[in-house]
Amino acid sequence: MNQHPVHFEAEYAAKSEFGKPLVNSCLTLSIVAGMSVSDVSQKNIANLGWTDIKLPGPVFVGDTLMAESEVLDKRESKSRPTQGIVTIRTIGKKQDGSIIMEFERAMLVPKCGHAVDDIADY
Amino acid sequence: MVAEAKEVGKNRYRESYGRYLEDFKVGDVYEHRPGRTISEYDNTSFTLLTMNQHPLHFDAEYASKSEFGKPIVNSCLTLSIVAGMSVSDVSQKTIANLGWDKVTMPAPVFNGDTLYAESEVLSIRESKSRPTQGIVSIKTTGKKADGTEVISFERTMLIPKRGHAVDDAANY
Repeated sequence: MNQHPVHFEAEYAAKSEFGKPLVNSCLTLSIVAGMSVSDVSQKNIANLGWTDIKLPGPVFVGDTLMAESEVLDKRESKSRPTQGIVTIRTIGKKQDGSIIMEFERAMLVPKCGHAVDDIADY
Repeated sequence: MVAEAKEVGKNRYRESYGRYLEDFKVGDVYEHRPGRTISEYDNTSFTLLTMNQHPLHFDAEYASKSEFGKPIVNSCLTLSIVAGMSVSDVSQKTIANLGWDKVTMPAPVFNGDTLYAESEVLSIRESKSRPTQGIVSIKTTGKKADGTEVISFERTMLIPKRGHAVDDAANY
């Protein structure tokens, strides 16, 4: 529902300090977070939230993004004995190595044998 | 303020959206419209577009074995839609989005839920390095039609002073 013309109107964007359309940072966040899923969260019970989402550099159409995640913290859940909470910091970079996004994400992760995958014989 | 029909000639008006720095007041709450019903198509296509293959979002058989009982909406999509709903009021004249913090998801969203958003202005300050711009922080809350809060976050934006938006430079 975002109609900011800097994302899709090249004539408007040409007059901005970026000179050309800027990628919507919600899309950047979603893709960089999505890239991390197959490694860190595809057995998640739920995503708990994000903090400190920073946008140090712009992303343009045609840029190629890569992501990496560092594990910051891990603890067992007090209320859910078969699950724990893992916090990661994910960084998104462009093809020239510059960082274009970083954020911390907390997730509810199951112990071995307690994922929906295990119940569902996935 | 939110939407204006600027007179650009005799009997001729041009639509314009979003606020300048001077249009914000700390403590004001803006209710955003329209709302949006999230469809299975939205959820599945956005999830796969963004490289997320968690089956909880698009495999109904898998999801039926989870504590939710059915597929849940990807929280990146919820964040993107709720933020997007706020744009026409708070950020359609923004120079740039600076970031988010304290994103929490107190309740799940399911396909077929209808979301609404509102934003409270938390702080406003002039930029030290960019004299024609300032920094505004808001807290946006997304709720379902029954009033259940499903997401909240703080967002910080670089906002132009009156006459200094790209809109003004572009005679938009």
